[in-house]
Amino acid sequence: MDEVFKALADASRRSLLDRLHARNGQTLNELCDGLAMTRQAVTKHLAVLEAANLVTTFRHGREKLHYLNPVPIHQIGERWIRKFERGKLTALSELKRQLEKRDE
Amino acid sequence: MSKPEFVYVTYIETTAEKLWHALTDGDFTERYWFGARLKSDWKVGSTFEMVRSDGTVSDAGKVVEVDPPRRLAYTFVNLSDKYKNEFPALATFVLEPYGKLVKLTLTHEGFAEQSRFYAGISKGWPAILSSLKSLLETGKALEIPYAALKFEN
Amino acid sequence: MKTDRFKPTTVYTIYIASTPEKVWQALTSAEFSRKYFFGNAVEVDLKAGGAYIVRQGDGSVHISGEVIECVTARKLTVTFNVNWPELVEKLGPTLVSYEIEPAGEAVRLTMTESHDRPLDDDILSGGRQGWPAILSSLKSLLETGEPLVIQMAPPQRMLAALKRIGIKTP
Repeated sequence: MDEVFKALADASRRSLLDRLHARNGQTLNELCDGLAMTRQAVTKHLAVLEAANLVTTFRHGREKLHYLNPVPIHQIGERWIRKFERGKLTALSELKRQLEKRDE
Repeated sequence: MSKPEFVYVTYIETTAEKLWHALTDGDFTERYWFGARLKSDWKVGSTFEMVRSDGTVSDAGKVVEVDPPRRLAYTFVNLSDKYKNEFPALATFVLEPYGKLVKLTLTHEGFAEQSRFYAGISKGWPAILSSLKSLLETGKALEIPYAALKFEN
Repeated sequence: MKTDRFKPTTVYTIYIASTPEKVWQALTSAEFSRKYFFGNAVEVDLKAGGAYIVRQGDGSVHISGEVIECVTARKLTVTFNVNWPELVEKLGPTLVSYEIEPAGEAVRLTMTESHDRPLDDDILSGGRQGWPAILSSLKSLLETGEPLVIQMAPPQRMLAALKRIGIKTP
């Protein structure tokens, strides 16, 4: 889990993930196209993302296609976000209930 | 606003071990999976490939869960130009013994709402899993031509 | 009966190594259906408006309806109403349609269950649990000569949901 958070802690890497989210299965050339980063920088960032399992690659003929791997992000959602959301919603509904009781 | 999800349940007269083997062994899958050999070491995190009879790879994926012979899960994408930009969806196989039978539940989920691959797999899975059932129960897979599935162009 | 207001809620497709005629026979004959349909026998008068009955082992009628559309070895559409008091009044009729198509050397059988109003997933869960078992058993019967013996627990979620809306089930 540490590598995932470290990988996400960089704006350039997050923008690469955004690109893959918008259109998955891109080659290195496609990912570099229109980015202010050098090709070398993109390659380094992709390596960090791959090591964190956030990106997987599949060979397709002579091309290497990069894919956003949904599993670690889904796990973060389940483990870290949903449980806090649940807590927040319960607190809000409890507050609402208390306020409504007072109005009676 | 719900994401499309495909669920298929079938009951097969076999053992969970035999069914697990049929789902993960390339020699077996070739007989019922429209000729595709599934190739992987089936360790969590490993990639796996569906290899056509001509040796080219049609689909590639990642193994997510391996709990033989009870649960197998992997994500995969179809590498054709038409589908290669889609989000990998998660296919989970649950094998439950049911007396002398095994109840197999396949859930394929995580498709984007506009996924075109979803329409394809919804037609493909009943054919693949029906053929798997025939192979395990009668020793002979089904002869279903690809065209009979009527995929849209 | 107009069926345009019905929308599919459950669709199950299965491929069987058999002929359209044999699949048709399995779906419409008492002798065959008793073997794969949990001991229930299908009795149907194969013409539009004909009666469609599913009779339990003890002779009592479990499901009744009528034939809406009948094309031999191709399509059968029936109303398929379980005989529990007030079920149809409260939930509307159930439509079941079987389509048989050749697919190479096999046959594709598509079962579509439809309703004329939105129903809770809990209510639909009974059918969703039952159809794969019934049709898997039908497939095995036609391919191996033996149906599957599936000991299925009663669909608790559905029974609880029906109880909540006041439908008495056995």
